[in-house]
Amino acid sequence: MQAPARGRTPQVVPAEAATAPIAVRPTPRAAQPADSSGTGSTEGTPSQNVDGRVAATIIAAGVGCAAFGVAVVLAESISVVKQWLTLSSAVGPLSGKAVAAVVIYPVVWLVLHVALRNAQPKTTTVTGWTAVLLTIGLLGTFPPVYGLIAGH
Amino acid sequence: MFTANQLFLIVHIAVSVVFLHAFAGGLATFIREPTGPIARRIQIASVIGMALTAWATVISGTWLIYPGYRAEPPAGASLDAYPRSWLLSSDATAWWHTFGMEWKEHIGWLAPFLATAVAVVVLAHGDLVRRDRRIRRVLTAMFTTAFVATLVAAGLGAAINKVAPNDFLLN
Repeated sequence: MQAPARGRTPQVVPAEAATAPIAVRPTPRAAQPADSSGTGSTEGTPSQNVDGRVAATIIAAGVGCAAFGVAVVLAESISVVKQWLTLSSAVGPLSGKAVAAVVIYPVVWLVLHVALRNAQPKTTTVTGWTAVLLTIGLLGTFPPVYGLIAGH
Repeated sequence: MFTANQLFLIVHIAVSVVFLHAFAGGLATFIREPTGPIARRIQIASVIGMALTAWATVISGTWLIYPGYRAEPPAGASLDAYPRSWLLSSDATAWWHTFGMEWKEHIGWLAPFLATAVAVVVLAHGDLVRRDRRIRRVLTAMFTTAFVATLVAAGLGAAINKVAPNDFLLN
């Protein structure tokens, strides 16, 4: 009888182990419940589509930013608009720019919510539109840009 | 006790400080997926805090602080109590109004829209935010843009306070 190697525990391999099927345990990721939002994404996995209500919320934020940027450009470019947006003489045209964007934002959000609530738009489409709208907001509020457009 | 202008300044600065701190907690939970209930609570508290303070900051800044900054001085009055007119009275300082204050008063208004969207998505679609890395990236970008917009506005406000007389805020 051969002595076991020093420092090792002898392992007994059952004869049926060589032929038994390998049991695959479900990983915690696979065991998670299905995506309730309908996007089909799993944990940590980016999905191709996004819930329409989420898309509406994200795009509406971009619309709010763009509305404010456009209001700034219009107020600086057209004196009548500047006067029209001066809702408070103490605050000046900033009052009207803010109120215009704050009114447009929830209205557009509601319209987008109704239009997209059962849709599954592509995530790239949603992010693309939001990026464009946010850029309009950022450029419209940057003094050299609206000064250039207004011809100051 | 405090005067009305001093109270307005305290409110405006206090809510913007809370806003900037809420960003740190929220960002951490977007970069790393919130796994436990504490991380989830931090995420919810951060996004709600950021959205509420973003609105409070721009509303208090626009309707409480800004009127004092842009007030027109009566004929013959010292410009020390009228920072906008004081800045515009010299070519050397006019830039602080035509660029600095103009950018500050406008860019800060972008933050509430972005912060509100992040808060609503996290509150109403928390499961999706936890599962979908791409949505978390979008929210992180919006969250960070809101923070940077507020940081620009806050930085310009602090700089203008150093350059122009701010007696109107302290009296």
